Amino acid sequence: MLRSTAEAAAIAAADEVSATAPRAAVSPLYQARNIGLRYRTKDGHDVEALRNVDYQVQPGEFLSIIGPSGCGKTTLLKLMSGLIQPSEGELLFKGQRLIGSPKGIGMAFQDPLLLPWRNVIDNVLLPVEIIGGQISEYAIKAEALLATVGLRGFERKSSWQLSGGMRQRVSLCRALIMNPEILLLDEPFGALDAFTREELWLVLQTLHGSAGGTVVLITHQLHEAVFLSNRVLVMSSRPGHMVYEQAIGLPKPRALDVAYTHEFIRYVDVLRRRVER
Amino acid sequence: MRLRASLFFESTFGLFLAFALWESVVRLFSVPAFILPPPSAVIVEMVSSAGILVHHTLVTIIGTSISLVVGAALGIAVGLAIGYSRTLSRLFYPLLGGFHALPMSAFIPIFVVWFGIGIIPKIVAGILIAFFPVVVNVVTGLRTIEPDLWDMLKTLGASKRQIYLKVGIPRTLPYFFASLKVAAAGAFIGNIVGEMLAAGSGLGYVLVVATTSLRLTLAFSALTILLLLGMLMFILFDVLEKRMAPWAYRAEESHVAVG
Repeated sequence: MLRSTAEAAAIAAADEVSATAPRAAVSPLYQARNIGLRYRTKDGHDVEALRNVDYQVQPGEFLSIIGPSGCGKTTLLKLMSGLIQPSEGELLFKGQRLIGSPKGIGMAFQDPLLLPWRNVIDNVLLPVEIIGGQISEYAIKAEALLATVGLRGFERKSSWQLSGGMRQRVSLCRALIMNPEILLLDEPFGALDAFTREELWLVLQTLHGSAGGTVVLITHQLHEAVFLSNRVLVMSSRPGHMVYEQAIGLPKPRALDVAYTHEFIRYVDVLRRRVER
Repeated sequence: MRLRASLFFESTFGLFLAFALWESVVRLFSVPAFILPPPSAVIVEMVSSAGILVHHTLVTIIGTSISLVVGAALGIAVGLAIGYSRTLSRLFYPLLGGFHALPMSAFIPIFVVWFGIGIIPKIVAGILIAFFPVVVNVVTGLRTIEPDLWDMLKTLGASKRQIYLKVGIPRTLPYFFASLKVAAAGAFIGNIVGEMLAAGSGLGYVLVVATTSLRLTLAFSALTILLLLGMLMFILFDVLEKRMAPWAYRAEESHVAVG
């Protein structure tokens, strides 16, 4: 669900013209300037989670942020969802200072966090209930989303009947039910085995392709970041700041085979060196 | 239904084994009847005093039920309030914890002073003992909402009330039913001790009167009935727990592989 047909056309044109050219510079969805974040832990220590963080998120792109454990990636996601405010600097969402959660965000985490007393489709429809939308309208969309992720026929199943990978698919559908402009994902595939993870890469790629919108993915899996993204940002260890940016010039949609090509591996290698530093 | 039938037979068999052991010990060591009567003598007594025992059993059952219902209802109300409000929690939760440590049975003489001899002191004692485990469990169910889930709902603009209604309360259900087992036992104990100390009826009363007049077979009859009631309550609430929140237990039964 891209914001306007003009934007859609611009991005489609950019894709077709050159896979390796940098993205057309439309005005960014998120603009982070010199962000710092400090907090005090329960036992009184001061932690500087982020320092001098500068980056942008372009509308329609798939951006991955990678970095060592504890570098502040999750904190960054909380900032972007409006749950916390930076101690320094500013985070602009569509040109405005971000205060509170912007409308139109979907989120998914490593733990699918489905409500076990609800069936699959009721889980997907939870955001609709919270916002107060018409369930009957959204039920159709929910069924369509479930079909897209390969769970047609599972609408009335209980979540305990699903495997971890299936639950994560439901979690993604729930994140997308309200047509969010931006999808924030915090290591959503971290708890899954390699095969399921690859399946879900394809699912996510399809969802991004059909729904449009912007995705920001936090992951520590380099292959995942390269496979899915248009651009990858590398964060340093704590206090986190951006140390490297890599555009991924591989054409989309990508088949799993591409993950075993030389070009792909070179991207992974470049990123790996930057992360260890 | 099959599960219930086999559970019934298994527990009955367990009871039978325990009785068989008791009978053997008494016979083997020639234990005198005024110290420990054998189950055979107890059963005879139960049959001959059936009328009295049934009356007092009913008194105990009714008192326990009232204590449990009121105690659980209060427990839910207070638990929901404390789980919802940080302020209330900080003000009153530690205080409640302190009261929980006090033996309610010790308060029964005070209740007699306040309410006179009769059924009220024992029912009040039962309520107070049953109340605490329910509060603690309801609060725990509410407090353990996963932080990520909370965050996600907040970004959607959910109010605290919405989160409690849609997530908190259903979530706390299995915790609540788990606490009912303990609460029932508490209501039971409160009533029995109350009957022993200051009531004119009930199995506790029978126990005290029988023991002080050295009618041990009658005392053990009362004890046996108490044991059976306790078992029944336990099984009843165990089954209820699994029925009312099956989703909390199904996760253990699921045979789906990871991924």
